[in-house]
Amino acid sequence: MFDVRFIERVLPALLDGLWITLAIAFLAFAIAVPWGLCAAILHRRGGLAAALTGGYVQLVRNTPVLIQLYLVYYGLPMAGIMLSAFACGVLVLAFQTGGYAAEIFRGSLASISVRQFEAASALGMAPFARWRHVILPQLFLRSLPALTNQAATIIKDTAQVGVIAVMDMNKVGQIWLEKSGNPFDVFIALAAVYLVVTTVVGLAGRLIERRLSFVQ
Amino acid sequence: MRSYIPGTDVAGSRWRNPAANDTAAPLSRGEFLSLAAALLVTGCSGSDSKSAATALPADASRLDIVIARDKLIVGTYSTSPPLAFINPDGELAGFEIDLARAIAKDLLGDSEKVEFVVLNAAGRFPAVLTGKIDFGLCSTSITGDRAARVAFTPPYLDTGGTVIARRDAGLTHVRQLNDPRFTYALLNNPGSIERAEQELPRAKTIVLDNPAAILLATKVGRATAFNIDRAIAHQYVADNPDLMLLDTSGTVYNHVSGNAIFLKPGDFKWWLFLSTWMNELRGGSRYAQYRTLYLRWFDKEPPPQRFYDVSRY
Amino acid sequence: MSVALENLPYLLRGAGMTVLLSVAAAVPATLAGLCMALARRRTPWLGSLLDGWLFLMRGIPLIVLLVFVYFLLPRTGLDLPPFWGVTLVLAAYYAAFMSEVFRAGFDALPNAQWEAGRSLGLSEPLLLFHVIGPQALRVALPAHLNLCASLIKGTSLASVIGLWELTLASLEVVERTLAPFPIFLSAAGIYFTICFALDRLARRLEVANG
Repeated sequence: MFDVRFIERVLPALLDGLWITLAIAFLAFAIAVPWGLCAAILHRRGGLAAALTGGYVQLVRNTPVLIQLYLVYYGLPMAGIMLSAFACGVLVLAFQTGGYAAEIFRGSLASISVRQFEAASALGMAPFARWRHVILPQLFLRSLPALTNQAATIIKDTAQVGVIAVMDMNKVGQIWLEKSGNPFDVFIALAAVYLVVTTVVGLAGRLIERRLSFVQ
Repeated sequence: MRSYIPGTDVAGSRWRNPAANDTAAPLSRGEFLSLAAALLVTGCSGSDSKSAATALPADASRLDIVIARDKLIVGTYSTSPPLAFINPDGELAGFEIDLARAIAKDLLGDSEKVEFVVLNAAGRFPAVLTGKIDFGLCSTSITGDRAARVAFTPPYLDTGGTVIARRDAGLTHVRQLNDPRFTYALLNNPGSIERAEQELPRAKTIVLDNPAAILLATKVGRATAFNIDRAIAHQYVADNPDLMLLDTSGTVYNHVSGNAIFLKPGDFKWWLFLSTWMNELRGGSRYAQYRTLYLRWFDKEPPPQRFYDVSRY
Repeated sequence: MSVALENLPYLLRGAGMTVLLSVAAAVPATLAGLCMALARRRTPWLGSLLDGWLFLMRGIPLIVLLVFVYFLLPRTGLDLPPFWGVTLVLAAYYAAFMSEVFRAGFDALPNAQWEAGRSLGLSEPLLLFHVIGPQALRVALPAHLNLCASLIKGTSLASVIGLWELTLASLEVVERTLAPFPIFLSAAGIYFTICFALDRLARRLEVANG
């Protein structure tokens, strides 16, 4: 059905690209989580902060990543800022994922009873300690399933950075496809690696979830 | 069916790279609608051509089939100006379209007796091999591996990649681009990637998906230079004063390849007709027509009819 | 900003194509999603088949599927124009997610509803059409609209395989005008307007559902 020997040749090239894919996804995710958390906490304060963070979330939810990539990659040099394509990719995906993470945290935060805040301050805990010891642990636990999904999504989204000439796994695959004229086998290899990676991320998320809920 | 055309009415000013022979052919809304319409009426037109064909023996040449059908069916692109694109009136136009019409004129006596089937890069060879079209005339350059699958006529156009650079980079020759300080933008096709690896191994290369992207990347300063089809390079330079053609002498960029008509292999009669026709056009009795078309679409003189000066012999 | 205004008509035509593409994909995706959700209730072995489908769609990026189908379809002899190729992929991709949304909608209804309907002597199709269907759809609609917004954003990927729509149109205009900020922002604004409208609708329905 498919040519195993051809796939053996494609795979090493794809795995080279995979490191770029994973690096972008990891960096973007590492930026997006604290960034989304800040947005969610700000949102809770209401007023202008809530309006701004709400607007931000709507913005990322309702515009395509592709347009954001083009905007940053072609737009910033016009403003005299020359970020590498890789940095542009990380920036856009962090911005995007940050919005979704903010939504996730906002939802979890809303599910934590106000009484907990009151109880913690009644115990004389300082605001920072209150967040650190009472709210955040619960927040992360409740957000974990959705964050795991988001981590898988971000890996899939990195497949778009090829349009701004980042040599991620998908781009490497496309170049091989053009070169070999063998779309089927390239696709099988590419799809298999993506499936493995997203599945591993999903499993890892579930594992962490189980560990943490056990600790709790 | 008339509908508006993306690309031409705004762009108008400038031609798009016919994509170094290999890019995907986008489908405009106009085409989409006409294709949708074509799908709906497919029963009629399909059976039409079939009934004409069935009157002929099973091993009849495409030439006889076309004459019996009294219509030529040609595969083309629609987004590679000035070769084949949709003009502001919503009609296919371009150098390749005119060539197809000229063939119809000689074969069937009427340049209007052509039906164009818009193809994309991935679908062009299957279209001739399955007999859906009589031949393909869509920015396809002859290569050895392709020649093993389809038959080619002699080329109707010399093409090949050349290089355009930003004027402010201060380059004159392509070789100067071979430096890690410079970035070279090209499309994802094996030919241009190979040429870049061979000629500019030290330059950084970036591979983008469409002609708009490589030009844009160069104009905003993401790339120093880009690879473009020779036939239309001068048009780009004329339209963009900040860009210039680099001297390509002594490099692979000075080599040409030929764009040719391709057809299903094995049909000698059909191939002989098309090949003879093409030879006459480029170097024989129809050279005047070739020159007219060339001037019209490329705005410059075509290569001479003979490589030697005829008056001396 | 005048650059953006001048080219807005062109971008809006691109947006027309985006909407056309979205509708062409969303309608079959919804119907298929609904059928898959219903079929899963009746035939358990189909469930694992659909799970497999969902697993694939969840794990493979849309852009990979699009490029693959673009290159592979012509070879199968199935001669689809690019527009329909893209439509097919988008529909197949989102049908998987939509079936999950509809399944959740059906699952949200207590079993008693089915039993009550049956005890009234309603036939299965009647029951589905008049009792279960409307309620389940109402529950599923907000999430379904969110997926539609996601699908609209997904159509931008069609530009990568050269299908002309809003994203490719904006790239063309930027190449000509060399004004990435105003043009890409306008394009983003158009996407935003379409998707945000759907989002508001979804929120309103969510509120209406209580």
